[in-house]
Amino acid sequence: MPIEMAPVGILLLGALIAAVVPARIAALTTLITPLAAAWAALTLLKPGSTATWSIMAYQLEPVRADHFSLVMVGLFLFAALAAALYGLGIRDRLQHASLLLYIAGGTGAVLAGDMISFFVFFELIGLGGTLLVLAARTPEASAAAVRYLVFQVTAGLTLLAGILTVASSSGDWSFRAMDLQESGAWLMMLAFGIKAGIPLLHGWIVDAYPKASLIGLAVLVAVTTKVGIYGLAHVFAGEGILVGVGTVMALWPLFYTLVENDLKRVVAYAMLVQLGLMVAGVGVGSAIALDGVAMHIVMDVLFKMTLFMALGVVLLRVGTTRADRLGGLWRHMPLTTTFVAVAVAANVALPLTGGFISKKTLLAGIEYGEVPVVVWAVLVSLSAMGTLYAGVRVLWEGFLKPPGSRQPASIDDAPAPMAAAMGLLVVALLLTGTVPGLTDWLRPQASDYTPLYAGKIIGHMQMLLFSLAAYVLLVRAGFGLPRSRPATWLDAEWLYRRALPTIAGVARRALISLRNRALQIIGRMSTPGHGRVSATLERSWPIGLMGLWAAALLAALLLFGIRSA
Amino acid sequence: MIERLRKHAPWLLIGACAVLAVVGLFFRADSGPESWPLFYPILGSLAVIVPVALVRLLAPVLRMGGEDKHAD
Repeated sequence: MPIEMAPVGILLLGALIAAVVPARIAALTTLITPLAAAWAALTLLKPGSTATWSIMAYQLEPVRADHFSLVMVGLFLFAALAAALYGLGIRDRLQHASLLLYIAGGTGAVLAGDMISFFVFFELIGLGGTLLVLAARTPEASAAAVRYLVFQVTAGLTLLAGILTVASSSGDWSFRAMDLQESGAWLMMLAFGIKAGIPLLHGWIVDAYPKASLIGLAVLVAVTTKVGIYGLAHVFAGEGILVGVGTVMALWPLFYTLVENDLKRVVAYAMLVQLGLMVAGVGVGSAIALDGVAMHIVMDVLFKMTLFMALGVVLLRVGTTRADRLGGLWRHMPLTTTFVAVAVAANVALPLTGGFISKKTLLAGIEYGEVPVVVWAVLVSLSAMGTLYAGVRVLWEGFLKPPGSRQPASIDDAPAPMAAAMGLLVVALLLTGTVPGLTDWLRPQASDYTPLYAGKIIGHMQMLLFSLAAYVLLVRAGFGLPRSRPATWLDAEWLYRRALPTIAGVARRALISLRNRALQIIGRMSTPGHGRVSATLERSWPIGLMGLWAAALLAALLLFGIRSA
Repeated sequence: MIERLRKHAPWLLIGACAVLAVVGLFFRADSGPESWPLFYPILGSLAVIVPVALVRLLAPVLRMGGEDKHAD
């Protein structure tokens, strides 16, 4: 194995150690491993670093680092460190080992220079993620883990089919930019799309993430979908179809962010909104848009991890994350409430947070691209909609509104390691939003756009404040959001949970009926009937009639052949 | 403090909106939709009114009822 693979190797070794040592040492191992991997990455990798590895007849290139892949490596290792800190008090080897395996998969995938290496790590992400869900050890989590695995394997097989088609037609195994005219490229785009959670194929995210183990809840948001976005940006940047896909992807989940009762599911749907924005940015493909995508990947991981971690703390302390049973937590959990407030501020791209820089850069890239102004305006307004789903639903309903009736009398704030992990993420969000130039390293295309000027900031603040004022007036007028209550909401999963089984059942019944009918007809033809001389198949057929049938068949074949030619 | 803030929030918000709407007039872009005086205020208001209206319209259709089998 080439030395440049050391960061991935360290993570895999850490996972192996965490899986076999006592749980307390596993937690420490998980904390130390990302630091060691980061040290190795800083020492060995820089833009342009490559490494090759000959296996059998293949010349693999497991490392071909560029600026974008190094941003992703840094992000994954930072996320691993935060998640490991969050889980420092959790005595569960499976969660710790799975975390490192998951991060190793993500790190390997973004460093891969050839399609075989990418595929291997792409699958490793799926395996690590499945184990993180499974580690919750509840029947619901086990079922969700199986569904998660089904989607990961489907994405993997689709990717493999695409890779084999592309490589067999071009003879090139390198992981490179392609256009959709290349045979097999569509399959690769679909595989990345499944990982990124494109509409109709996004159900696994809101299904599995909220049911994952505590460490899984904290870290799953960081890798799987982001590698999907990375794959799209690396291979299909500038493909116009992605602008449409991304816009639908950003708008589709909005309804569910406003009605779901479980706040974990609200945040999972909210993540899909941000992913849609990124996919649209990839579709534009300009330098500013791609820099915006890279920065927004980082910021989205920071604020979504904070929100999921906070909800994990709420689950730990209160025993539920259902909106109808929460409220008033700011009195008991001031620190966690503060972290959530900063994460929500970053989510709605409030100035002085990293979310403002990343989202405004991404939207500027979309604005300067060949995108209809209506689409751009809708994507811009997503921040204002964020005041509803992040501000009203998560911050207000979860923490600020008058408390629910079934809450325990005494609730502690987050345990120290969990608070430290959320604090780490929040500090990163604030620093990237306030220290000039700190986000420059996150721009792979080195564009020099900055949203930090008065017109942009005032315009954005106008939008946020008017959206809040509009909602307050709606509530006063009795037209606010419906009261949160337990319910199951139909989403795209209806297609494969209800529609497909129904269609399959109808088709099965039709086939059975057809078979029975055919058997009846054959039975009538072959069995001597009561009072009949003979059955149809027992009769002698005249040679002339047989010849006529043969001629008709040959004529049909001839016609078919002419049409095909 | 939260209670007092909650009580006066609507008026604080409306006041802040009015101030920002006036200040925004002096910092508009030279061209494009961002140069329209009320572009962001209208966009922000619509971004809340339309989704809330949609939720109130679609919620009865898309709600399956029963227990929330996903939670916790």
